[in-house]
Amino acid sequence: MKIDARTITHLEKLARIELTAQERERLSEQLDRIVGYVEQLQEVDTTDVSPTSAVTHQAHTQLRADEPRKGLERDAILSQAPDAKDGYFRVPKVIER
Amino acid sequence: MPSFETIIGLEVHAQLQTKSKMFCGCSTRFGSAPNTQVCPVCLGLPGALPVVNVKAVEAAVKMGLATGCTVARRSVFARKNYFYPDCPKNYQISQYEHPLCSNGFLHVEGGEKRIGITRVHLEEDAGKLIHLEGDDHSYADMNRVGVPLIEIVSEPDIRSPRQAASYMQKLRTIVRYLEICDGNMEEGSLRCDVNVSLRKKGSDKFGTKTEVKNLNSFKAVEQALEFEIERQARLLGEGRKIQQDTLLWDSVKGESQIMRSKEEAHDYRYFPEPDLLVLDIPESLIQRVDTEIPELPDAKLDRFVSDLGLPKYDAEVLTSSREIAGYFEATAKELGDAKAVSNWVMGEVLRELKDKKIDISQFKILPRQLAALIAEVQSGGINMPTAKDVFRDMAGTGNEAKDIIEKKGLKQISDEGALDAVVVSVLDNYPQEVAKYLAGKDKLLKFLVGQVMKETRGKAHPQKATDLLKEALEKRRGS
Ligand SMILES: [Zn+2]
Repeated sequence: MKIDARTITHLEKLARIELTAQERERLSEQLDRIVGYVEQLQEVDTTDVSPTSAVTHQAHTQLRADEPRKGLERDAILSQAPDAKDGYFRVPKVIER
Repeated sequence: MPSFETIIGLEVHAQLQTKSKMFCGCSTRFGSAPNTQVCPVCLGLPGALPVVNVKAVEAAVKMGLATGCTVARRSVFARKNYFYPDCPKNYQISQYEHPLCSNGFLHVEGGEKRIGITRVHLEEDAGKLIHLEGDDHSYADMNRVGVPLIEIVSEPDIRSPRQAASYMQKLRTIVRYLEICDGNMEEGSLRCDVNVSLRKKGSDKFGTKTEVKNLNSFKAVEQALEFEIERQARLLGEGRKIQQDTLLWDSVKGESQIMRSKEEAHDYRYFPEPDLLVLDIPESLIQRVDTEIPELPDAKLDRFVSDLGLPKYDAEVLTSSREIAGYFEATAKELGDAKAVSNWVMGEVLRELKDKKIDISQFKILPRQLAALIAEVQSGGINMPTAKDVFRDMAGTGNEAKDIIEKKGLKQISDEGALDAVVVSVLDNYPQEVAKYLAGKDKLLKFLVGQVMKETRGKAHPQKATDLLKEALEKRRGS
């Protein structure tokens, strides 16, 4: 699979970033190499290997009791936000959803 | 219009009634001041790690078992990636390839229609955005971020808007029976998106579907589907193609608008959540949860019909709420006459709850007290109209029927001697009506009965009063 200009543009959109022409070129080369490496891995016969979804299938996730705990102070959090007002995070107007 | 078959599938999100969030200890309380129930985990601060809430897992397993699903002993959390200001991590932890529960079903339309459930999986809710008119900003409250949800995905088995609403109602009844979700659609505890497509009758291929979002009442589900079916039928009728769009329902305007097209469709790039290991469900957990499942509405309905001899309609109304069903059953047990109790509960009790906007736990008449009131009617102690007055008194005061009847002197007059005197005086007072009745105007009997009731302040035994009146009138015919 070749990482072409269209794929790069799509990835830019998904990641909400804007690249320069040089960055696009450099990234498509790098991504090409990464995808090439994965394609190489795909040559391995995995017929009898079940897919891995976690680092280890030996361990399983621990469960937590349903006990509420105090979180962070609102003023402390909002002071770290780019913009806040009246106890809310303030963001550019969105209408979708 | 050419005849089309409608294919509908529902995706329902139910907020689970846990005290703390899905992956962190923040409170899930509704209605708190904005951004006061947040922590590094739900705000997606660097280095924070999610830990799964056992109560949420149990609730999802419960729903799976109650709807005949297979519960996976091993399931996997996945990241659903998207950028939106209601989602501080820029991804939602959900389940994708390996959901917790799958392959279930439920019945609607009195057991006639089976609707398959593809899956029930765990995920977390997003935050709440507030948009103000004339303000070029939006405001984000993250208290709801991370509140546990189950998503219940139906098979495309639904064939009409009515059926979709019934399915939704049934889901609500079940989650409330299980006590895993309060089912409050106005507050968004239960939300619904629908997928709908049309195909020519007889075809076995699915048409292109659209998705309608933001349906927060049963009525909205039905209306939005009717609107969308009509829109698709019109397009297809004109020979045009359906686009795979996502629409947003506006319940005020009663129409939906295209929110995004297929080209703009989200690419969520699901992948296994690296911060969580696989979710292993021990057999012991499944067994324990299974024992916590109460008798479900369908089973209760069957029992009310077969054991208590109720008509199916009554059983359906009564079992639509676990609490109402419980109240009915306790009262029926006291009285021993299920149908009489059913009439009272479906009529007076439900009306009283609706009028006062209260639920049965706040209702002042205990099952034992209602049974005693009905017994007064059945033994002839009071007549039905009086009983309804006594009922209203009891609902306000919580007093016993017996005491109210005694205090207000409401005991029914069944004594023939006492009634006879009233009948004679009524006939003497209304000679014109009597004459007309005797001339063939039968309808005037009702008027005369009414006068007897009035004279006795509603306490006359209606049947006895009628009989005595007829008898006295016949006597006058002869003279
Ligand atoms: Zn938190």
